[in-house]
Amino acid sequence: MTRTVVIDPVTRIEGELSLELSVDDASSAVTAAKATGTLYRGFENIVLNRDPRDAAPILSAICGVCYCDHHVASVRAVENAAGMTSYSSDYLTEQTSIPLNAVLGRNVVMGADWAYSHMVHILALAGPDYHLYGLIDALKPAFSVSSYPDLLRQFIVPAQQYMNQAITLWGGKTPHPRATIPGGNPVRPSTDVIEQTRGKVAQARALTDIIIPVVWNYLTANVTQLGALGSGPGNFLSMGAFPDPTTSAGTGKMPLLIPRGVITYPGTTPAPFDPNRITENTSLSWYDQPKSQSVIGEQSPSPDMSNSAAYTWTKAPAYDGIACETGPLAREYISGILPKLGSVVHGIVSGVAGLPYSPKGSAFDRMTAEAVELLALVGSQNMTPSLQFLGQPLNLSPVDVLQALGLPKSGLLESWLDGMQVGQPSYTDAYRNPGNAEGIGLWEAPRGSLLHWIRIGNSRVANYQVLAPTTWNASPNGPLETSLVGTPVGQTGTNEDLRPVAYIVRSFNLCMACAIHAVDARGNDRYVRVG
Amino acid sequence: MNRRDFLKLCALMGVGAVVTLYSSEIKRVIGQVAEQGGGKIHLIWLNLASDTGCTISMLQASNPDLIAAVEKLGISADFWKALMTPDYDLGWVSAGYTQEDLSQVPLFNAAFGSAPVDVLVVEGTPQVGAPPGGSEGFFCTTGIYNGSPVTGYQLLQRLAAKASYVVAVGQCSSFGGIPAASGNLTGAVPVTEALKRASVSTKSPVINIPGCPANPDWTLVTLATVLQGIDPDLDDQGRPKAFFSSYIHDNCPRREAYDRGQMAKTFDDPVGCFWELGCKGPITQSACALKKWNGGIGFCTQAGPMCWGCMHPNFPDSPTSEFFSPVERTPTMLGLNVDEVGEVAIAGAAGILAVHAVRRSVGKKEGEPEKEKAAPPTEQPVEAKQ
Repeated sequence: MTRTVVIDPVTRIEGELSLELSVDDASSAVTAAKATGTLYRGFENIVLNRDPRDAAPILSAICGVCYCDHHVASVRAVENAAGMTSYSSDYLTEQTSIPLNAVLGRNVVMGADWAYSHMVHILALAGPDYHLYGLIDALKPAFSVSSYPDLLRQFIVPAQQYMNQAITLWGGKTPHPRATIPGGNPVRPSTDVIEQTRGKVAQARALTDIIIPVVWNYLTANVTQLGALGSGPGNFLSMGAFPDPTTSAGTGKMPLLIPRGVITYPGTTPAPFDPNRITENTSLSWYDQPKSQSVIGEQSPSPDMSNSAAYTWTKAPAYDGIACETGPLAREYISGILPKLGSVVHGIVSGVAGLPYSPKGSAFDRMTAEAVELLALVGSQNMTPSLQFLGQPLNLSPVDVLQALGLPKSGLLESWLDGMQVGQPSYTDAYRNPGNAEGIGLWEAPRGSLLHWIRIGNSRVANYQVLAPTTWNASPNGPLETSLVGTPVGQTGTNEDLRPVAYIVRSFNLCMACAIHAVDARGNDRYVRVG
Repeated sequence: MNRRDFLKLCALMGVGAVVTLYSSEIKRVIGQVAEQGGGKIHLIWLNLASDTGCTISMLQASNPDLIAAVEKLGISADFWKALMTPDYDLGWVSAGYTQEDLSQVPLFNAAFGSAPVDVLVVEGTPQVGAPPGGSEGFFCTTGIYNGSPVTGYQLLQRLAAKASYVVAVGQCSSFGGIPAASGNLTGAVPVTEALKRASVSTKSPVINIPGCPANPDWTLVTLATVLQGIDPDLDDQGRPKAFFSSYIHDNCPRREAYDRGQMAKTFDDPVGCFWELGCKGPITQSACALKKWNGGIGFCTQAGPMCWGCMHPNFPDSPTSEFFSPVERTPTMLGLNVDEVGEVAIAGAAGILAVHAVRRSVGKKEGEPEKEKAAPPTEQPVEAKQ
């Protein structure tokens, strides 16, 4: 007998998501999954006919969690249309006429945005489903932490606040710092603002240095279970982030720290990325044109719920016709960071073939990749060789891991601060409205690939398309749905039955995300209640 | 902005500190209220068409931070989607894989059942339109009740009618914000308009705390104020006067440059006034320039690079956009003169005086359960000082 399980609303995410699972009692497993986005706002229509520069401060509000990302992707699309920034034909490098400081300033703001977002997701959104990684027991001997509110108060809330404060120094406020505009990042890097930013990073690092090893050891101790849950389609996509203007080519030819690329199962080698190969299909979505069209130049379909086959507002994007997963796992797979980490681990614990642990990804791979990305951004001063895998000692510290991966131990955020030209401009007022032009803004948000595309006609926004990470991951027949099929479901009639589903849903960090839980961590009470 | 408003503003901003200083007394009074009402102050945080930025903003609150505030104010957030416990998530579906238990879900128990609602916070814009092929409000649904999707609009109507206070947190719920901007297809309207359309009356006027996002410290102070039984003094737009009486331009760190006629010609000018480049500070009423953001370390005209008017009732439409076009100069907006600046120092003491107002109201609450319509808590002490 097959039963239907509905989780609606899925909580601890941004936006509205409903999950419908078919569970077969005989096999005790999920046999089908439907993810429904139940909120439509229609931003692409709202920015029409406006000044192209006005799109960014409006579109930043697509997401109040990854707010910097939509903003900067829109600005980059406008700069691309205005001829200020361009991509090489293979999309592997960029060149720009905005100052070096502006490129690095954006990297700092976006890096801090990733870091805060990862902290909140790992600890406050996913954490409760992952038993808080055993943090309370691990920290109890050394800190006055005996409950989840203690953990929130002493670690989670302050750590993410430090990153938000770092953004505020360059962007005015968070959420929605609207500082970056076509031409650059107006805050000129003085020694003062650079040192204040370093201070915020150091404060955050002091906390992540305590937390990350515990999270790592929990995930790797449970890799046998978590690594077998949540395999997706095995196709991975990265649209690239963090251009590096500090090579000898300067801003004239910038490689990307997070490269663009596509891995298609069963392949393991990234192929070059080309935005012209992306389509969006609306045949299962609530729109008036049930068809597939290229995202570049797409004509926005109108909302229409009369298509009886449709079940979501989310469209179904595809690259060369195939559904792809995006996010930290995709980025680190494509950049080679994760395979490199895998070979380090394999050299010590030979029972682990490598990373990603599952070639199609897993709950373990996604959560671990996110933790590694957080470590890479904020860096580490933790030299205690406490890291384990499968419960076996690796005799590695977080600093050792960074060094093995060829990453700066003071973190990427500080490396971008190091590269700044103190007191030099970070903005040029060379932007001119191009009148009639098209532009693409490619970026990676904390949760995955982000594409903004603009057509400017008669100096106004004539067409605008946004393709966000969760559109890939939570699309009809997309990675989230695929990854849930086959998931074991318990039959005890208790809350634990769906824990494997929770592991998987959380591992995608659906870009609806963010939150805090002021709750009893033992789960005795369904209500949020502190004190 | 006049001097009196400025004094009120500085004074009420002191309430954040008062919440901390007098937490035990506040807690005691709330405890008495709670005894009658079942032991808790019940808060529902309802998300409509939003980006959750106002929830994330709450995480940035300082003095007190969100955890301390929830503790000190004795709040039980019975539903805050972004805050639910893991037990709740799994509990949804655990009862034999049926949907029978949905009435036990706190949101639906509050909206359709008997659970009490003391404070309803709304984040996001109500959407009252019907998509082709769908019903009214189907642009945003949350959960299924009695076999049908529940619309955000429906939840708003049920909860607002029940709540003692309705607080619209953020630009979207206060004024419609970006989802209700020109070009929107969803019938997105402010909370007040959606309630009017549905002929729902609330027990007290809807409090609007606009901003994209709302400033978390102001939200907490406003919540603290209503939880103490004080109705905040609202302007004709439903905003607490304490935070929205002055123009950003009047208190801007670049104001001196403006007074000298030093106008910025490019956005990276570290000193000059951004008026001619499009700054919306001259038409936007808010205390941003006074209290700043993220623990007081910055705000938009310091880095943003200018005010975008995100608290103006019409944001993001005209007159806040074109964002890069200057607003007209209006002589009445020129604000403080040198004499008035001197009075800022006097206002500094008002935060301390605010204590008495709060204590007085607490005392009344003990003896007399019915609410009095209090002015901003500091008005009387300030007058006495004069």
